[in-house]
Amino acid sequence: MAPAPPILVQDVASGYYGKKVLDGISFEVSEPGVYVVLGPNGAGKTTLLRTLAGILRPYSGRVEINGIPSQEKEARMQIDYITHLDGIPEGMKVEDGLRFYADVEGGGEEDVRRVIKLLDLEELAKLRFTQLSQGQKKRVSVARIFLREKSVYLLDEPTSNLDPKVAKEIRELVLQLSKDKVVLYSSHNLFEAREIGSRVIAVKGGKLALFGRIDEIRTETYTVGVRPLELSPALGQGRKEGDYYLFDLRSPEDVPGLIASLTSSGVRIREVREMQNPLEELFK
Amino acid sequence: MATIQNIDPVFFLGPVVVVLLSAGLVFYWNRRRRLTVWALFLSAVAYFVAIGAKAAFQAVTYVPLDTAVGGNPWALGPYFGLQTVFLEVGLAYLVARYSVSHSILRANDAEGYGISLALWENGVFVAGLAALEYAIYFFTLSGGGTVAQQEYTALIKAAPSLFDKPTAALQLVGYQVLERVSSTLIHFSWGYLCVLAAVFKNRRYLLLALPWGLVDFLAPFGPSFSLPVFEGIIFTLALASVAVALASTRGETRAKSTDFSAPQPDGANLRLLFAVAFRRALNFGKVYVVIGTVLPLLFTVEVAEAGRAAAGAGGPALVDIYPLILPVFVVLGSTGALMVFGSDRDKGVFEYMLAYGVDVSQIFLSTVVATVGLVTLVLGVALVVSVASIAAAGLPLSVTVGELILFYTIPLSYASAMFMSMIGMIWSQLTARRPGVNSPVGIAPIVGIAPVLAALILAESSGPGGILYVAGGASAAMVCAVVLMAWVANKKMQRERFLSNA
Repeated sequence: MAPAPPILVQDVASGYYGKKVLDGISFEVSEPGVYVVLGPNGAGKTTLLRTLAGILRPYSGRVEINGIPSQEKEARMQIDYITHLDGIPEGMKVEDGLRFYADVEGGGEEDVRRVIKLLDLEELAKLRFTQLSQGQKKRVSVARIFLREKSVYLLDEPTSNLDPKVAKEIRELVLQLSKDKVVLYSSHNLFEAREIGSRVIAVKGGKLALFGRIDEIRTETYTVGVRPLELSPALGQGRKEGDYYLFDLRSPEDVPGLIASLTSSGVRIREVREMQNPLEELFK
Repeated sequence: MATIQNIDPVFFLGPVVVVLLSAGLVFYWNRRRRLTVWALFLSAVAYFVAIGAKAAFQAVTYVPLDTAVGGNPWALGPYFGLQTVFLEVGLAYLVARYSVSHSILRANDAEGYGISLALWENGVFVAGLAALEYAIYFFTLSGGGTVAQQEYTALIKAAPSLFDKPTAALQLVGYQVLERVSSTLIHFSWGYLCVLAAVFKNRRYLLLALPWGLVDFLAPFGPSFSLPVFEGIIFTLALASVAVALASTRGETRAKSTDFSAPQPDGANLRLLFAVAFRRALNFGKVYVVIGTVLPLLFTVEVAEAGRAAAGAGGPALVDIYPLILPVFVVLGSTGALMVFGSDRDKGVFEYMLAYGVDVSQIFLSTVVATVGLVTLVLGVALVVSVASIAAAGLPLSVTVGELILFYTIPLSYASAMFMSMIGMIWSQLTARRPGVNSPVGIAPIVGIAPVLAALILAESSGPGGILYVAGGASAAMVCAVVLMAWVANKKMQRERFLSNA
């Protein structure tokens, strides 16, 4: 008998106080990796993660974590979760906050010490959580997911409010996790999504808009910007936007052809860049 | 006028030995075997709810029954025995079953649970009551004057053995201690069997535990026997109870030895969690703790002064009022736990706890446990310092004050604080008004004080002696309401109510 998939969602409706936010959602995550949860504001991304985490009871349908209904304690104990709120109890020092969650998750002091070292929190450990900057708070909040080893990680915008350096570090840690774990990672940042994830779960209007590989996403147009060293009549085919001339292509594969065509027409190119992320299509 | 004689201080030896014995067993089991804070707490819930229920039941039924049967021990025996069977042993089982089903108690907590039940009965309730009574007698009789004369006249009629010579008194103390040892053995046996019955879902263990409550059947027959014979019978039965409990479960404990030593399932460390909840509640509500502790002391000073003036004028000793008012301050002093609850939800702490496998009932329970801890702290400090202040002020400590403290102040303080805490949590969950004085957390202390004042008004109209029954009834009703609210909330409350508005 094949093992149960890490995440199984079957025809799920869920929401708050009887009002549906998600409806008819179905997908199955059976392989480790980072699954980017995308969608415009209010689409239901956070509701989806809360339902998977067993915080919200689905109104209908089935949610299973490793074959166990998500409402069961055993299922919730296989999940790690972070939301947009830091969730560190008021008045606690950083290390006390981590210790508190280590206790909640059945961990110990050695887990707290390891995580403080892993995320380079030594200097912050003795400070009260309220004394930290927004970015530092986020780092501490994210540190929680490394306290205990779980099989499924649900991360709701873990890098929001972080400076690029720390955000990159967090993404690297998440990528390490995802080698043998399932990570659902919600993000508003489409470029980050492409950088970190290989698969996407797109939610739009409470419905599943897409579940698949990011590189399989096909868009009607693919726009690149060409920044020339000097003006040239050959650039007249593109639309001017700031220093760039925009060209609508069918796919990224058409970019070399465009460059060849422009250079053969005498255009000296300083820079070519992607002006539209294919994932933006999902938000339209 | 008869010469006033004081009770022999040797009587204090009885409660002291029993307290040391009970606490020593708890200490030993905690260090060398297994006795957790959880076992202590849960056994306290089971025991004190049972005692409260017994008191309430007897308040209504004992006098009519005793009159109807003319004090016949064959009628009163089953009356007392069956109450212990169903209330003490039955509740010990129900609490054990609930705790086992929530993975709070395991098979290797069975001994600790039994030892803890014995502690509450002997080391706290019986010995505490006896020590307090002896202290009141001793200090009242030492004081001399009219009050001492009245006390002496009453005691020499009701309990002449208190004025026995030291050798006779010592013998009496010996039998008292033996009786408590027997009680310890019997409580151990039924507590042990109740936990194993719950863990192994074995009805036979429960059926073996229940009949030991019938030992109270013998209580009305006490005067029919000489003291050595009566205590000898009880002690023999107690030894038999332990032998039956251990022999009947030996196969189980051997066969399932792995269950006895199995590690905790990988989940929330609730013992630590609750300890943290108490520490945070203390830290959060320290101003309230100070208010709850200091205000009654100031009140006591005022009462002591007024009492001295009133007593001089032949008026009532106002010190008797003190135990009636104290629960109001205790409720105020224990609001820290509820404040932590409100803050944690706003900060999103509950969202994480739910995601990590903590149940709604455990969130509520941790707040109630922290409240109980604060009540113990506030009440303990206030009582010790206040009673000492009253004694230092030279005001008499009457038996009435002792009874009021034991049967009014203590149960009503715990029950009303728990009630305040649970009402505050539920109300806070059902409304969007969260922070501030106007929020449920801000208003809940008033709600907690209301039943105390209502009980006081009812007590005033219930006549002499009725106050203790009103307090017992009100306390039992509030504890039942807390349990009911927790159960309904756990089953019916939408989880989204635990999410932050932020």
